[in-house]
Amino acid sequence: MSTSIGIAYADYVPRLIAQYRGAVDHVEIPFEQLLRAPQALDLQRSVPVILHCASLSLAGDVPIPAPRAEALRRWVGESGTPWVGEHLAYLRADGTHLHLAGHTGVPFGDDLDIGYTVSPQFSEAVLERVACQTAYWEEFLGVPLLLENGPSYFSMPGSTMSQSSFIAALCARRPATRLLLDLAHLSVTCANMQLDPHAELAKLPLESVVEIHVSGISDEAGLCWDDHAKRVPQSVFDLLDHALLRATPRAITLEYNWDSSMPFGAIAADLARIRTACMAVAA
Amino acid sequence: MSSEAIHAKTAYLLTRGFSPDSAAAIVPDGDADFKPDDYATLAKVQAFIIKVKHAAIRREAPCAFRLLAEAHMELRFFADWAPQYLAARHTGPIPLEEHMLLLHDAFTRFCAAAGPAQGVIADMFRHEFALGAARHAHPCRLRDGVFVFDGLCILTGTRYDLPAIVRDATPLAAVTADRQRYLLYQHAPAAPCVRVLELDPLSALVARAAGAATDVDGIARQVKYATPDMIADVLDALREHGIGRPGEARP
Repeated sequence: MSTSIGIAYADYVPRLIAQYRGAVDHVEIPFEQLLRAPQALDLQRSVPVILHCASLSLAGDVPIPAPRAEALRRWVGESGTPWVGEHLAYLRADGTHLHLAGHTGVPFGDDLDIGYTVSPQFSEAVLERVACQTAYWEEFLGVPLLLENGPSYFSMPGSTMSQSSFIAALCARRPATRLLLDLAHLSVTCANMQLDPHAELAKLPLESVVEIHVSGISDEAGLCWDDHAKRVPQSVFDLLDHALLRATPRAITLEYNWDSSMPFGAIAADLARIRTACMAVAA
Repeated sequence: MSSEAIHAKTAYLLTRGFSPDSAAAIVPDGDADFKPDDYATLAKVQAFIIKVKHAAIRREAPCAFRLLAEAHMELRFFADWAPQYLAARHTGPIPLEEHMLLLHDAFTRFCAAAGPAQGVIADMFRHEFALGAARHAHPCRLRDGVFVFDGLCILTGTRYDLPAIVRDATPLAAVTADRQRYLLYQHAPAAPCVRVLELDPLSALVARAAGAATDVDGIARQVKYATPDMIADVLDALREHGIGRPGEARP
């Protein structure tokens, strides 16, 4: 089976597909985008759609509101997505944990919604929670749920293992686990945690990888950051070449969705670079 | 420390304004907590999250955000803007026009503090703001040199050739300031884009005054060094560009 080469949804993507016919095999659309602008799914007439999600808060203890979960299930059906990618992260937390600690400076008690997926504590308790949550959501949605490694900017207190070790342990605990390997996130995490990205890549169960993300990274204020407005650096393409030696992803998605002024020529060149990497491995 | 407790503390710090001192006081339970240095990192992550949440609005000022990134000042900017943004966002999404007005002030303040070399970033935001406001005919007035009148035209002052920087995607390092320019942005409803005209200083002053004054004498009272005849000539010239009130007569 050949690997589908696609792009993350952005306003310019319909024009890109029209202008560079054959360059884009699929478009990955965030579920949250469909909530705001359902017309994004019109692209389905041109190319297959893969659904991405940043709402489930798999590693957290505050569940997604039921109406939102139902909406996700509905969009899974309408999009015909073969799977849903979701972050190995949390974005909501229970404010009562702060209240119980006796801190009275602010009114706690409400759920705290970060609005962004944050890498969690990598501990046995969170591992068990993620394994259970993943099984639950796969049954609820009726499609596989791919777990995406997030970028780490700090080590969450109480962590007992690295992100790579956590993912490897998760796949060992639940062999049905499937992964979305974000190589820019891996690169960012390793830079910030002083780890060797190739060594961390080697620790991952790449046979469980179904989809790969690539995008840019940037350096500022002494840290390395995820950056979908920057082009994929050579270091991330190198990781892709290495990952493809062991992984056989069904899809690779280029994430250039933070800057609508990204030149089409650059996007097409990077899509072609990814396709070349896949063809080199196949040959 | 339980994952629930540390997740809650992190979520609190990332969604509220905080100082390292106030953050250190929140100790959920147990003994594993952030180290003092971690709070500075969390403040950077808070700025980064705000940056990510601005991905959609980048399309309104793509060149200004590009220049900000080239200056390696994105996180500093979003950290500076965080308190206002979090306060404005507290009750829900910020409407686009209000968001752009708040960002305009934030860019102006941040770039002034960052030094003269960053002046082009604030001017570029003002330029792209003006293009958007003219395109959408937002009825708004701003401090610091952006002015809207008749709902269609905006005037600003800058020492950079802003349209050329956008057109040529000029790198920040290659941008140089030269002479004072007065730009007027005009969008005819039937046209597909906004026309940018460069005006001489007197025309710029007259055009600006024309937004508030109702007749030539009123404009003359604001533009004190020009006679009513001079002003009437300028208004005639502006009207040739389709700028001015229909039927406005010379005195």
